[in-house]
Amino acid sequence: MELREQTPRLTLAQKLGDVTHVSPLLRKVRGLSGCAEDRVGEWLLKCAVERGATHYRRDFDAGLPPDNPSLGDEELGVALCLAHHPFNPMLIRAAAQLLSTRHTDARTLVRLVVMERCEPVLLHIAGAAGRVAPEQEPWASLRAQLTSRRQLRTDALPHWSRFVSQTGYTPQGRGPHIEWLTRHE
Amino acid sequence: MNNPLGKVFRPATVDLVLTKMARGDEQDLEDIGFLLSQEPISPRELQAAFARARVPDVTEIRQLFIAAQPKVLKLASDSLQ
Repeated sequence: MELREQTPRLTLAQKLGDVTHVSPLLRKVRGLSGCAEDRVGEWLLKCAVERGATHYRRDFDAGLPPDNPSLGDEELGVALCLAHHPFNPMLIRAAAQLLSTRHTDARTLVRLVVMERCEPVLLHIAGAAGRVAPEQEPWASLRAQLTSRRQLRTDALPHWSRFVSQTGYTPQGRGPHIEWLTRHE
Repeated sequence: MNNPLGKVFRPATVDLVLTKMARGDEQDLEDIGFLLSQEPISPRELQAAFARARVPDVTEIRQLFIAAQPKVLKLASDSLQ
């Protein structure tokens, strides 16, 4: 059910005050998916949900191509954070859940993040994880190994509470209970 | 709201707006804009609601709530035009 009118969105790069680069990863994703640029984000989100970012499950357009295992999980997570996409915080949130697993190879991820110039977004997620679940990988490794190229406006990026599940009531009783969203495996 | 399956209750729009102001990020502001476009509330009514809102005694939430106020008032003004 569509509740809102669709209006053209700025890209993530424009929101951050950044510029985009020629992205080898985006090129790979477009080749593997066969999607036009305006559908790539939706395809990536669908793949992330199917691979375990289940918090963002929803009905996807049945015409979207199937997932392609040639795209690694780290690549998928970084592709969701590319600054080329029309701004959609859901992509970044899904990347956070998808990558939040011990199976994520932090070294591969760091290399991709630097290559694809996504440091501000991934460090933003890593910072949020540091607040809620400091030991959670791959975020602890990213905080240790990554530095941002330069300071960007990150106020448009999702608030830390978007990456967690929180409730005031649990079977143990009343009180805040906050859990970092990890990949469903 | 009536539907064939039963009656659905929801918080008043102004209360939904207030709860979304506890975080007030881009997505929340978009939601608030949508709510106000469906049911405009005057800036004056909103200011009264800000004043009587029971904001949790958590520094971060209080700061975010205050920071969101001018943005929400602008959305309210825009929705009345």
